[in-house]
Amino acid sequence: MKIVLTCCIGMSTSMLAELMSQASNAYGFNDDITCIDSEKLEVIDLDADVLLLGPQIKHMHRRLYRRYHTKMPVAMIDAQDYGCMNGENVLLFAHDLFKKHQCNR
Amino acid sequence: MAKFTEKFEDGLMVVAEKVDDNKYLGAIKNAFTTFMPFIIVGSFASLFNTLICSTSTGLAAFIPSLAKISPAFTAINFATLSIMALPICFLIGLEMARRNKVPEQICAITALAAYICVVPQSVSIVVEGLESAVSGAGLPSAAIGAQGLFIAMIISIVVSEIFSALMKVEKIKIKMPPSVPSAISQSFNTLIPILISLVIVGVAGQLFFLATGSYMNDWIYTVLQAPLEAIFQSPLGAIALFMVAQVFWFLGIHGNMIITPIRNPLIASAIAANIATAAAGGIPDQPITYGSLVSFIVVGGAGLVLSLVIAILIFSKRDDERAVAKLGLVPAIFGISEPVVFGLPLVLNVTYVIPFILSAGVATGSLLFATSIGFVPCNVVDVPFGFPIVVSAFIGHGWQGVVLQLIIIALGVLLYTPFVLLSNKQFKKEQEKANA
Repeated sequence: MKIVLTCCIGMSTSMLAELMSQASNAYGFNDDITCIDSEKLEVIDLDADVLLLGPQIKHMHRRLYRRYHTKMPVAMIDAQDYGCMNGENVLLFAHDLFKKHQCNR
Repeated sequence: MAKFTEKFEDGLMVVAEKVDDNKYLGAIKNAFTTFMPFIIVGSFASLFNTLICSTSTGLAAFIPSLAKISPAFTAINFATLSIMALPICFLIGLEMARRNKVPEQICAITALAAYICVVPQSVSIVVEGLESAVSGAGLPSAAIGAQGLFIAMIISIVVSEIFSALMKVEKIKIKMPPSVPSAISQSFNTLIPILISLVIVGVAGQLFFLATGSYMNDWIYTVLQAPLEAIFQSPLGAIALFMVAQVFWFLGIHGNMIITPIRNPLIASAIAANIATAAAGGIPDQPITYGSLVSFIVVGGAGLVLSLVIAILIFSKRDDERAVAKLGLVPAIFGISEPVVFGLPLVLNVTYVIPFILSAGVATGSLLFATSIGFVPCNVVDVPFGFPIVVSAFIGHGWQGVVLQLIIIALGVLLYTPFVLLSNKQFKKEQEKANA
């Protein structure tokens, strides 16, 4: 599945994305995990299965939620997991969100 | 007390959301984000001029013919920095159109055309030997360069709003028979909105000129942009602004992102002013630029997080803090603070709130002090975010910059150390309580 992480310019999320990819390969999920500059989300029409926001842009959550929530789950990454760069936790969180989203449909 | 902090937090959150959600501020922010690489490239062109074409400091000292290609770098500089009001005007028009859902390129070009309408379309030059100035067709540098930024931003937003409103009026659309391809009828549909938008702005500009005797761009520069620039470059204004950014960081919100709509136009015009001054043979005098922001004000991550990491690694005996510091060390060297900000966490951490907010003031103050005594030059080369410490300062500010950067990091360590010790004390007390 396609997981997209976003933050200010996508720099600190790129570290997390790398760790999530490793975790994903270890689980055998082989997800496609990428990062994007939060500004670009306003302009492009993102196509992904889950959109996760870095905690430092929580003020953008409402706006991005409005824009994308019908297509994919949009959620904040837990601040503690983000700070400790816990790729595995965030990966499982993303899968959980995706499953819930599928059920609600 | 708890109620007050909650209210304060909610209040700032609302501010952050409002800034983020605001159409105009968002358009300005994105326009400058798009244009930022060109500013950096333009400033690098002046670096090449010094390193390659200068006969005193560059390669041209050994290969004199290299000096002849200097006009090429000067041209790159002119084409990016000295005309920045034009692309910014265009890009804001584009961003506004995206938000208003009207044809993007047409709206952007309308904004640009409207801007050209309100600035003088002639330049006057004083020629030696002639008594009066000679004038000819052309756009004055004050209108197309950084001095025109604010008026360009204002005109672009106003015109985009007029154009978008007109595009939504069905009555002024030119009706085409259904057999006409839709692309053609769309281009006819934009005719009247473009015409009316330009007439409104053009006439308003002329009326303004008749009433006040000065052009709109000169007036906005004098009453709005120049005072804002002065405040932004002054110790009080700069320290206050960057400390406000830290208050947002304390709540876990990217503070420097919140202040970008006001910060970016001002740092763009500052680097342009520095380069223009240097090109004219003067000493650049605008200390706060993008380069000095990344090299000094947010060195090691916003809030001088690298200093905190060092302080923890030296003084802290708490295993949890040391683990976060070790994880955050390398990112902090590259200016990324998030692992520590959210891992320690610094967010809503009362123990560290004082140094976390003050650090921005210390860094900004040190920068302004070092430039005012002339130890560190104001930069003409901007540095993009993401370079490690030492390298970033060296590119922008030379060896003096590296010294200042290390001093700021050291001051940060001094600032954080008492609070690292305090947090150790608190931790010990808590453990004793838990064991008792």
